[in-house]
Amino acid sequence: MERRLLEIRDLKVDLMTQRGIVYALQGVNMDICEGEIHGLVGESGCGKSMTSKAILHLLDRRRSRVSGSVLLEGRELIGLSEREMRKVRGNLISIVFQDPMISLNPLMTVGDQIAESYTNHQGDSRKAALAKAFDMLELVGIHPADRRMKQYPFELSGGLQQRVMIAMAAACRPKLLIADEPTTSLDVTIQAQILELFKELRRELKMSILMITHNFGIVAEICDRVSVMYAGRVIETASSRGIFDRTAHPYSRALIASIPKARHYCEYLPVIPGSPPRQFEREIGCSFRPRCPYRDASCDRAQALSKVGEGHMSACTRAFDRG
Amino acid sequence: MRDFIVRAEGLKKHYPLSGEGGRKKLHALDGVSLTIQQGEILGIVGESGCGKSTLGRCLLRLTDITAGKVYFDGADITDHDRRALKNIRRNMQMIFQNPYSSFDPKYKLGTSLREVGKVNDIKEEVLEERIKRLMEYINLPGDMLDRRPSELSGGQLQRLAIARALLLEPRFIVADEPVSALDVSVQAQILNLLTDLRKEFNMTMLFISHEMTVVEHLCDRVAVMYLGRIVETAPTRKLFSGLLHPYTRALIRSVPRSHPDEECERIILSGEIPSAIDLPKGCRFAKRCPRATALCFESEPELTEIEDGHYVACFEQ
Repeated sequence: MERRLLEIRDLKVDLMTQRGIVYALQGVNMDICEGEIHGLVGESGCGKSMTSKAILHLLDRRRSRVSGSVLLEGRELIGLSEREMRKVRGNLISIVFQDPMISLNPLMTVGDQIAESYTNHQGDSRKAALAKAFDMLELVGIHPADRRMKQYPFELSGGLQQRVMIAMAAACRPKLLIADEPTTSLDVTIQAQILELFKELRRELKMSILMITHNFGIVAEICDRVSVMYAGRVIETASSRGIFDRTAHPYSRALIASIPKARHYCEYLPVIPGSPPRQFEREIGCSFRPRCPYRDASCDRAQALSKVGEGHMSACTRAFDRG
Repeated sequence: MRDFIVRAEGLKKHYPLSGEGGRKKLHALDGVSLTIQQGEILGIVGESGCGKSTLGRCLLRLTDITAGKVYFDGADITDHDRRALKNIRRNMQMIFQNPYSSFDPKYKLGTSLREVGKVNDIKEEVLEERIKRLMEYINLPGDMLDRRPSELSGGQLQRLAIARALLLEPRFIVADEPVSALDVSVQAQILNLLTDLRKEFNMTMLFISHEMTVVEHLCDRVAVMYLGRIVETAPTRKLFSGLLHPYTRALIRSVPRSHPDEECERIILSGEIPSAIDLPKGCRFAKRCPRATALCFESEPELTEIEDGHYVACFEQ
């Protein structure tokens, strides 16, 4: 087994909302190994982005309660002060969001924005930072870099803007790059380019990438391993081959089945009945059981991730056992 | 020609740009001809800015047309004024991508639905009867109509948007990215609903999407657009197995594979989607085309039928 970079244990997030407490994360368990691209998939509201925000302490402290453990190379991140977290963000872990147009500062040139990563996180002089920003632009495939440095975000297409975001996030060579739906707002042709870029960066900078996506195609395309989330928990972790070939959890199975597939013609797509829970209550048993065709009385009890194969964990083995 | 519900001939839509003395134009549509038959779902695919949505809007005459003709049900509607359009509009409806922005947030959903009937002088009993029947079809309880959009999920609301579009029993529907904002499991529900509805109502539809697998699943025929033009069109299975135009090929091969072991000869298009303002001479795709020859930069290929129902605009064919 490769070395673990990030170990998440029983990560819980409670959000205080106007309608009451939402138990957004109900005990997330996940490992990210060194140098791997790890997919985190699930549908809206399942807690994918919440997990990344909790890792980076990006949640409003007054309206959220975070507990559990997040170890980065053995060092606990939960409970770190804001001062200490600042040294982690950007330097050790960084993030790329879905929509570059809202994440980039419209009033700063591309060069200055990337250079800021170096002046802020590594204490470089402006001149040195700009030189590094130039190299970074070349690395993420923005040409000609000298001209692009002086441009503002609105002068770039969506694909190029996302490359700038990635350049900023990768600038300080973090150990872990979190990419939260980085290609969702892009065209497929541009998405293909950006996915190639992630592969290249992993090779060049030897970093791990947590790829948050709702698209199983992206998992098949670039991920080494994948964790599937449902209602605030990871319910299955497998290699990206394993998730397609030996899908264990009934939810993962149903989700993969509902995707239209290329060159595969059928009149109706299999659907999952019902909708996900709203998480106003803490769930002890399996959250998927009201929608699950395999449910039985034992589903009311807590369902821990258990090993179902080499590097393959699932919170449920009922579908597996019954073939 | 009676079979065609919708027909467009040499459709052009240019938007004048401010500045530069108004001489520059954005060529959103630049000569599109197509026909849609009764009961057919025609898929339109292409990258952002290729003119997909403009095409939908022009066919419904939601916008004026720069040049070319649009026929609906055999009648030329290119120059119809507002009043003339109102009469035919009840036969053509639209479904949008984001259901939250296509319903008035302050209205109860029932009010939004009934409004459609009122504007079009439908008798109340008839209207209520239709709403009841449609609610059963879209599988939502009737009390949803007393709620407001913010209380519903995206999937539920999109189902209501579809019900609203069907309320006037239209003969033609334009669906502009109707499942793009939805989760895959909800997307599957909506696609199945559309399949049901087409059987029940023999619905004719223009289905605009950037998602190739969705289009492949639902549509009978597909047209691929690039910079305001159709570059290839064919019955769905033929298009996806034939892949003649280099752009179609690149587009389909950009879709992430469905399994890590899937053999996939990726074609990554270098460069950006070119602008529809300064159109290149010759084939619009030549600059990004891996197979472009000198000829491609000189003159523009016409859409030609190479097989029954399969049209391609490329010199290589």
